[in-house]
Amino acid sequence: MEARKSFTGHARRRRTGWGVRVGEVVSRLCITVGGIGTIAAVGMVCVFLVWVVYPLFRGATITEAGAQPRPERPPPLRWAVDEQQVLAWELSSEGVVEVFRLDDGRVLDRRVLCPPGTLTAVSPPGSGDTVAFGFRDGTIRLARLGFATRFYDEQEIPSALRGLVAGDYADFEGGLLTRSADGQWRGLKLRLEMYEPIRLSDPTPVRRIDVSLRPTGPVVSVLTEDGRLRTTFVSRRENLLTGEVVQELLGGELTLPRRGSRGLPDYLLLSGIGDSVYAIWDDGHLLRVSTQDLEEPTIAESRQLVDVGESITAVQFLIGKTTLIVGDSTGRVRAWFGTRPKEAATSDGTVLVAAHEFAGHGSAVTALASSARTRLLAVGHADGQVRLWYVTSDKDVGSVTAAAGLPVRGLALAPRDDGLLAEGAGQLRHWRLDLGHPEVTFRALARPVWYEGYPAPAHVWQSSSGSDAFEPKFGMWPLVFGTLKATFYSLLLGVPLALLAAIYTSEFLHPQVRALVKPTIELMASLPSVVLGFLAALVFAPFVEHVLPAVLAALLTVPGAFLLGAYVWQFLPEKLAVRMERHRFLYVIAALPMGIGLAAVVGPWLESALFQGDFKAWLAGSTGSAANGWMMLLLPLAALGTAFVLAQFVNPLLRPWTAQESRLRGALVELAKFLLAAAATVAAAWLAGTLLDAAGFDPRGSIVGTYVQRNALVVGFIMGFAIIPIIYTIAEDALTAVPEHLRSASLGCGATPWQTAHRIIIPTAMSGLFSAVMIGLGRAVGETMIVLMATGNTPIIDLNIFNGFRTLSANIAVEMPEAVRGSTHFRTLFLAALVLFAMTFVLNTIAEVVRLRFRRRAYQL
Amino acid sequence: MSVSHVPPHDQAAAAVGPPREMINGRVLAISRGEPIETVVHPELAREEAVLDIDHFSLWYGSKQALFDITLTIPRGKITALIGPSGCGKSTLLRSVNRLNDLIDNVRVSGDMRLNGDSIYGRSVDVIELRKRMGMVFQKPNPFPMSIYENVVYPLRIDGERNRAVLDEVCERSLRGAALWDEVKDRLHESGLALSGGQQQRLCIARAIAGDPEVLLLDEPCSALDPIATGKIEDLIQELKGTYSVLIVTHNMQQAARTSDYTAFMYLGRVIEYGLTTVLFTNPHVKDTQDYITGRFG
Repeated sequence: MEARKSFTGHARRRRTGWGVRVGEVVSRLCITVGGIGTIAAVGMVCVFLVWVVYPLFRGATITEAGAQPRPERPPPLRWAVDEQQVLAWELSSEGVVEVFRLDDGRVLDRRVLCPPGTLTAVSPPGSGDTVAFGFRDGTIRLARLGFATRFYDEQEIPSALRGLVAGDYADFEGGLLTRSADGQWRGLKLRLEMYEPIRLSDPTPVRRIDVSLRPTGPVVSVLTEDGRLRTTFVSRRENLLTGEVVQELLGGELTLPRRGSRGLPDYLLLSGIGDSVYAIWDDGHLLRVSTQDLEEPTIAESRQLVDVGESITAVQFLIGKTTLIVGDSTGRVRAWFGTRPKEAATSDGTVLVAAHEFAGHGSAVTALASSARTRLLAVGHADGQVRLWYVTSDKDVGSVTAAAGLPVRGLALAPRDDGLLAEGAGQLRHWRLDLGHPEVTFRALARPVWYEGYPAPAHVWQSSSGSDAFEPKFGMWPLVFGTLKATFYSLLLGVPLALLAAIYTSEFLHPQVRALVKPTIELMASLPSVVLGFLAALVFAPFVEHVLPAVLAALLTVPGAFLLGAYVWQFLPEKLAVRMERHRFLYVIAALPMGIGLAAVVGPWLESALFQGDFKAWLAGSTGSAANGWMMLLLPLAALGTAFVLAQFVNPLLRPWTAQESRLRGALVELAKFLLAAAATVAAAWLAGTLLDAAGFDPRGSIVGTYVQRNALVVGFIMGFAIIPIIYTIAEDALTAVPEHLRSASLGCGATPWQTAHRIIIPTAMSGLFSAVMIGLGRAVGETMIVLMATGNTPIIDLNIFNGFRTLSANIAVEMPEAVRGSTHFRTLFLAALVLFAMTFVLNTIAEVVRLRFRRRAYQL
Repeated sequence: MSVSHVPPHDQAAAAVGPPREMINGRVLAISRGEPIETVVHPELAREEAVLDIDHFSLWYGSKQALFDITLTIPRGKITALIGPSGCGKSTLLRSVNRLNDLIDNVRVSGDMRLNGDSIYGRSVDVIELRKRMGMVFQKPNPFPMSIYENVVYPLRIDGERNRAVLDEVCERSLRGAALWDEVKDRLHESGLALSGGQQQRLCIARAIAGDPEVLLLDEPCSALDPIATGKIEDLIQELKGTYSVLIVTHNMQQAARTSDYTAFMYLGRVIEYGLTTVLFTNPHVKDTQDYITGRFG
């Protein structure tokens, strides 16, 4: 290469080196991959949530599994199918139980329960395997009737069957035998245990019978042909040594009124714990007999269940035997259950209400079957249709045609809700069901749902309980409400403190002190929220409960002390005041303990003066009038109002006059003005409170109410404390980022630091301040540990600041460990996560839009 | 150190520039760290002072930026501060309304007096003090609010609410700043929507709206194009007589064109202070001549 002239003596290579180029490509690649990866990861989280949640809203699938002819004979009294849906039994009116295969209809077992013609009544389904039989001679017998599974050893199996292919079924000892994939032999057959006959009264034939199981033993309700209704608790004790069985009966009887030509009731149903007997006639008349005192049954309520001209065609209990399902001749199905309204006209305070209705299509209901594990109901109609209805959520799950044009004579749901049997038109048809999650619908999540036993539709979250008959309640509002409540109160406390602190440090504090204060506040953010949570729950909550009046008084006395301090400062001679200027920080700090000390004195004094010495009793509503409470609540509003009046009307009047006065007299006038304004504030609050009280309004029951130790106030304090550092840091940065030349220009005009701050700096930094608040809001919405530990986790919708709540995030943390994977509960928790995600997403989007608008307005600098 | 007055010449002699021995070696003396005396022209003695700067020194931390400056700013005249970059012109100007207080680690000695009132006294209320001065900065810095609100800001912070007063002050100030005709139809639009030159005139209008005793201009044209600069210079000329103006500039032509008096500063000291016409044509100090003719700086 030709030597070039060089000024420095170093000839520059005019090529970019390979290393540099490779570095360029690699860094660009890494940044691209990282950036897209981050966005993709967030997207994937959202997609995953939706993927888990989606099945909640998917419809049911119903597939036909088989059909076979059935001989025309009277419909069975009861029947059932096993869990695998391979075997079924049915009880004929003659008292014969037949076990038959579902695939080909062959009868495998046949048991005769009693001599022909003696069986007169069988209890309707609803009590599991327990069945009660009533006989012509007036005796009854309890029995257990169902399928039993037994495992066999290889040696017990006949050699002919040993070659059975895994998953196939073979006839075996009156039942079916199957081999599982891992070589286990399982036999399935009927289990029938008849207990000793019980004679309740003189030998009158039994007309209707029902049985319910209490934890201590069965309760039987029997209606005999002479119209006498006997409800009896059967206590059965077996002597382990002798095998002798002792039965004790406890009960009373009542004669049902005969209703002219209608005679005795057509249906008799006994509630789940045996405290009510429902006697129902075809024409829709219902008598409810209260058997809370078994020995003294009384008629508690009489109702008409259908309109005139319609008749009842099928009655059944839902699981738990509390909700009465009534199907009528128009094809309509209604669900009735007892509620306890305040002014009940019935003798036991319970009133039946038709809480849910499944509209019909004109064809009478001929058969009902309720699920043994959920609130699913199968409804058979006279035109051969079978419809599936999920009662609580009012969801129409699906429908099939079981017997075209002919009535459905019998229905049975498989124990796991995954199969449906329908008999009609000489056929037995079998469907397999995949219901999905019928208890969850958009309506049930967002709108109030009328749960069993509730006086009215309500928003409830209650995912589990000890009882089998319990239905999980997945109302999302209590959790959303709790989240908003926690956020509101923590922002109410955190935002003003954080923003004012940021303004103070950036605009007023000496730079050297600022260098100390800012990192200290940021250090607060390093406190783990679980530590804050247990401090809140174990230290702060009991403390607040102990000194509640003082804590509430501090909310007034601390700002009051600062204001008073400012007015007192004016009394310093001008020269001294200017010299003390740099030590004003200490003066400000001194006002804080003064305010707190004042609160410790004023709080208890207010409690005894205004609330009869017990504020918590007043909150609970047991003492005192609402006026004083209103007064305390309205004080902040009244203070704002007074300040507004002062600034708008009084100050302009005073200004020409005070400007000429000496400093001392001016200070005196100002202090007098402040004290008068404080008095006016109290007077205005008192007046407004008295007026509101006179108008009949009471804050108790809405924004305040019974005091609970772990409550929104405590969470407001502690979570406010948790979000202060993040809001403070961002706000302080935003304020400091306002160009120095604006500050100089304003101060150069002779503005005070506060005038500069609120006229120039804050409007300019508004976008930053707004994002600070929004990020604090996002933190408060998603915060988990503090609310988990300090709120009591009660999922209730209650505005009361002294009551607890449960947030979406805490709910997920509490319940996810115990939720069964893939269950409705599990997926609903993911839905809660999705709602939380959507909430923060919407909030952040709004925040960003507003922030950009502020920025466009203020930032052309 | 004291201020030495050069023996008074008679007016005619000063104008033609009689043969006179020039003082020399001030820059050298400064570089040796020796204290120097400010050469003050005798014409200043006839002026009435609006602002007295009295043995004023200023330190940024341990670094001294102003060295024992003594100046008398005449009332109703335009006084320019010139000198090379970093000589302390702006620091001196910002010291007049104590904006340097905002900077950490600033220490001062000596005093200034505005119409006889101490500026750096221990019991001076800075806020009251600043209300008596108007300041315009290098970079136009209108507030992010309407033109109207920008102008009446000094009145707003004094709590003035009378609309008639505000309107009148706004119009007068804008007329005074030669901006009225350009913005009278859009007083309520953002001040930030104006051009750079207009923004600077808006800032001048804001500065004079507060009816200042002295107007401090800190290189008001350095961020502007020549046409806008021309307008501002014309404006400064018009303000003469009504206001006492102290202007910092590193543009010597500007100082020569606009000011009545000029002070030449170098490394925190004032080397020469006198009538602009004399200082630029017939300076008493050789170093001033060297700077003006462009031999250093």
